[in-house]
Amino acid sequence: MTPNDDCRRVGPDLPELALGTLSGLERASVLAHVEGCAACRDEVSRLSAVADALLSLAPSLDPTPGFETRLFDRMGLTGPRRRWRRGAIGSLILAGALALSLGLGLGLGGAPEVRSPASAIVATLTSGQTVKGTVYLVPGDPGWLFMSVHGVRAEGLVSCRVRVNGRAETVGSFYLQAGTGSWAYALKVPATEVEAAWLVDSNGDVLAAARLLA
Amino acid sequence: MTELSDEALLAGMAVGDEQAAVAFVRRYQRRAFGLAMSMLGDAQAAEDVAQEALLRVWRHAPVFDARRGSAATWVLAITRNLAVDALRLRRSTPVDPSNLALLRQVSTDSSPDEAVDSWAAADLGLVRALRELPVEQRRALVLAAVYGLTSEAVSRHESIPVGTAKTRIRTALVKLRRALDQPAVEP
Repeated sequence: MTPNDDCRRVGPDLPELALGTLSGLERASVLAHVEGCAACRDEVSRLSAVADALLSLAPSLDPTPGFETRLFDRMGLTGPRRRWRRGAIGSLILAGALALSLGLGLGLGGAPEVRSPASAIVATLTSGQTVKGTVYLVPGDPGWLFMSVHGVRAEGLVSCRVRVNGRAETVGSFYLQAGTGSWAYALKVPATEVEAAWLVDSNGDVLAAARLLA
Repeated sequence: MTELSDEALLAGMAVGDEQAAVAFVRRYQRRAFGLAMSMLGDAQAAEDVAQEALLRVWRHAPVFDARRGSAATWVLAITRNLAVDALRLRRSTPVDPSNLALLRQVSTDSSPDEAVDSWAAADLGLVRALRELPVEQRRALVLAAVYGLTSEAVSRHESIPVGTAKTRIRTALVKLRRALDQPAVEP
């Protein structure tokens, strides 16, 4: 059987492969061909993208009351509300009275008072005048650095270097595919002390850089 | 406050930043709950599914790979798969066509602008393409793509031969893919 005959044989099943609704045996048979056929793989990829997009048409709806509270509890997030829960009733009354006297709302019955991310420092990753991605530096405990890269002329393993208080060091490596990739790193120093970040290839050559301090 | 991208928030979650997790949950809880509710039609079951989906995102954030798709696609796919599992558990109660909220929403008998607010501009092309499908193809596709029904299940659900179900699903999906491949034309 030539590749074209095989493509014609599995072609009618590609939509259901993309939708994930083929039975085990059918799926195995179709996959055996698709794995070795770039054209069919590409078709499945495009059909899958359409199938995924269909899910985005569902309406956004407000969840049931208390949804966030229950979810954050399950996630084990430790916000002020959890600490409040563990505290003594006396402390609660005192805190409530203090809040009222200061004109503050505690929102006791609402969602946990876990804060959204603090202001991030965002810098453009550039090579010459060309934008090659973004670096986010988010303060916190720990603070973290996120590097998002695109359109870089490199493939495979690259490294991230940062300069902290005038001293440069390599803090980690990640893989680029077709010049695209992203990577996160938990900082060991306060985010405000990170002055710059670079992307370097396996030879140590700088592919792109971002200045993080004004 | 700087608006962090979905991918940046997931990266923050991967390194254990609780604030990133909170921001991500607040960004996606309505979409996850909305999809689950559309599929299950029951608020408690939808909450269970949406919570489990967001919990999995939190646990698996370190393995999220932006090169393989967007965060939104990932969250909604996890939600959909969990909702499909929940639907299969209630096998004794087959999906009632009149309860297919998502199908109703994109059908031509609803007002075209009714739900536009909840759709991104990029989704409108998909809605238009869906509405141009013959109703029986649209039903078969939504039953398979969203509700996870196999062609055999669609065949039983719609009282049509399996071959017909397969053809409807295939034709509809390929038509959508072709419609979305078309370059935009100025009115």
